[in-house]
Amino acid sequence: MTSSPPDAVVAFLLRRGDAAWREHAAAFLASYEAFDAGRSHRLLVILKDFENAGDEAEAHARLAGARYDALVVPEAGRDIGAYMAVARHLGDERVCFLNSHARVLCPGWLRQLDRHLDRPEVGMVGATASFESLRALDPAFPGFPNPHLRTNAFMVAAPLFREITADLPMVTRQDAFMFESGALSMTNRVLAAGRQVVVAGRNGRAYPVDWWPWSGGFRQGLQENLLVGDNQTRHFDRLPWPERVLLANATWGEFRSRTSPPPRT
Amino acid sequence: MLEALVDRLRTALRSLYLLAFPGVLSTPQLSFTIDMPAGRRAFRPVRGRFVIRGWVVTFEDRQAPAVRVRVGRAVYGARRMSRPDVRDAFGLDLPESCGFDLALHLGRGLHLVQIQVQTGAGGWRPLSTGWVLSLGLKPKPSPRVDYGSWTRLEAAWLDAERPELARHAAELEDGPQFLVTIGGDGDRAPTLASLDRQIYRRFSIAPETPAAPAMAGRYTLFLQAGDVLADDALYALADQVAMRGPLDVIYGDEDLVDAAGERRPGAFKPGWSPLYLTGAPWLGRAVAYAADLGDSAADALAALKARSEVRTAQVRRVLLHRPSGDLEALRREIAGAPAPTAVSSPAVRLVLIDGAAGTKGLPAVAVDRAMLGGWASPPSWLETIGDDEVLVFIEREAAAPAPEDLHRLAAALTLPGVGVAGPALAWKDELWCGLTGGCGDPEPIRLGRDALAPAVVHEVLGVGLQGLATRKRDFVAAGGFTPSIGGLLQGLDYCLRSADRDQVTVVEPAARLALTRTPRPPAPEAVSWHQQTWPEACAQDPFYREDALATHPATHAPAFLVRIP
Repeated sequence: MTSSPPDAVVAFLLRRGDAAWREHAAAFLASYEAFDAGRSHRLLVILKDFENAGDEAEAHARLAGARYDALVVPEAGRDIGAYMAVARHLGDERVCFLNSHARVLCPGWLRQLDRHLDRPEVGMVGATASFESLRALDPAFPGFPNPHLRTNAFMVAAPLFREITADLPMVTRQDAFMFESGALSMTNRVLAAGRQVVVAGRNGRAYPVDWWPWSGGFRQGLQENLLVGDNQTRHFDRLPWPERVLLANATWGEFRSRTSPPPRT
Repeated sequence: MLEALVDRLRTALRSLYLLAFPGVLSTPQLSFTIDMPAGRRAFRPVRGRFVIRGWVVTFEDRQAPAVRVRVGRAVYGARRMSRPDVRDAFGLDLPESCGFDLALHLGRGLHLVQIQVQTGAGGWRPLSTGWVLSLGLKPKPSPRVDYGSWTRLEAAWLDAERPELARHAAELEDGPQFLVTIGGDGDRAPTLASLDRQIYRRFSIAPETPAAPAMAGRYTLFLQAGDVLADDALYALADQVAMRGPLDVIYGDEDLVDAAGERRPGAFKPGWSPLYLTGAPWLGRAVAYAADLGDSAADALAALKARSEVRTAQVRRVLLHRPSGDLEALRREIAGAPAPTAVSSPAVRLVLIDGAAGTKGLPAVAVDRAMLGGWASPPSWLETIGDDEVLVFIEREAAAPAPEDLHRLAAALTLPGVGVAGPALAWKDELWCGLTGGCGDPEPIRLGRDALAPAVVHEVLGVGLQGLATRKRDFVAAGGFTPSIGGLLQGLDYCLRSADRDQVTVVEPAARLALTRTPRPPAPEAVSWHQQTWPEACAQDPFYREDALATHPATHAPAFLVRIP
């Protein structure tokens, strides 16, 4: 007898402090409704800083027509703080966190993220990842290559997310950056727990860290293998050629090229 | 008292300034900010390019007027940028796209740069003026390696990635089923051996396996005995289906392999090119056809040609190695069979630019380059020309064209969906057949005499003004050519704008024009303007790839270019 996979929650973040939150809500819902997720789930809209009854009422009016639950969380704690609040609110479900800029790009997107979590060795699945380092801005960040999942769209079991964020200070913007790409990033915390961190492609392939630069996703080619896009992926698509090359180099560096033989593994 | 004096002084200075430089100061109706270069700072290069950025709105009618940048005598339209912060700051219903942005790579020298805004009357007035000293430094070109070195790298990388591909292949439980047929009288052993090495295992070989009924998820490959599939060929085809859903045809590149196993360049295929397909079976054999298209390659190809909409996917990698003795067959497939010379074609009007040579017996109009675009309404030289007449633009670098070549060119415009046609330009030992995006640095597609190249009408990204044919109606609708970016980019820009109107650009290789000298390359600032205006076209040229073999480039900049001997 096989056990059925845990329930899934899609947690979409709306921040009242973002002047464009109304546009984000409309655009996300349009993309969410355009593509079948391919997996049963519950949509949870995180209303960050909507504690005022009038603001909350407007948010519900903007979301009218969609089937969703809402969770109002305070402004403090950046995006990750809101995700931590959601994880505390959940039980054993798997949760897919999507930030305000996230837009669904293809059918079956949630199934493709979720199915890799059925493998016990996989701890976290992301739609996009990067090798970029912020060390030039702050020496506290690891140098390049600094593999990390981006926090715009990722899926993880709620208990594991609670575990890796249990000791996490989340007050400043710097805390949020450190959680995404610092030495104790969520990626490194999951890896340290002995689990894999993979990027899921539209083609259904799970890309382990070594193969992220050739996953057809974030800042690679035409980004055709993306499941979920965001402001950064859209920005890349609109960029002139030289800027595109610069960004791709900043993200993947020498790993973009296969001009050298692969390292022996 | 003092404040009133200062105010009066300020008003007097403003009046004097306006007298000296009319229209320079912002009126109450027009508000703008130039963020870069900010304040009175000089233009400074950012990664070799001079960045101009800001926003401009008119409060009265809530419009965002166009902005352009003049560099010397040339002008470049700035891109519109989304600036929601401006709308939020003023709390008014202002257009969000009131931002402007342009980054120009200037050639070596001292340049007078002026930012201008369009006035209501259609004129332009300056917002800011400055001098720029540029060293004109350019980034180094990508290194190139020879084909043999590349194939060895490719093999090494495939070995490294094989376990990952095998795992994904095993997970594709609902993946496509391939039926592989092997025709011809050659040695089947290498073909069967390559099938045995396939990473993706959901395939059967005809005729040993009874032909399966045509149904969704089934695809057929029609190989010839002696063909060798790359180990990941079927995986790569299945991967496309997994990514994109059901398809009609999936195809990849082919090269040649000799008895010693040494590989040579072969056919690096373009994006989906239905016009090219009507004259040449360029899809070759590294192709999987949906099973319902037919039981033979010829049937499947015919069925594809008959469809108005085809779901396609292209694998930009070499999937099949043909025996080297197959070179001539490959050449015939790519070249195709040229159609007989057109006996009738639309009326042609030569447009001779800046003193280009005309053709005796053909009507022509001589124009200055400045009269080719940038006008608010069509200029007088177009008035006497019928809407359906074909304008063939000729630049001074081209010799006088032969009438039959011009008629072939005009005949290409009668093909469905074709908006622009160009000839093959003969220069020394080369033929220049259209333009390629060149990873943001557009250039002619230069073909040697022995190149594997189409001899029939085929799609290209664009053609230059050395011989560009288009109908007058389309030319007027497009507003002519963008001024001051040079003939190569003017042609390409026009073709890309035609593509936006769902019109295709083709090259007719049977129409030849001789070049008497090399066309001048576009100015660096014009190239950088082009890169910003057409970022997608720079990211990928669908119809031409010298760099087809860059394995998995993170962008479409080839990881390295392969020199094809």
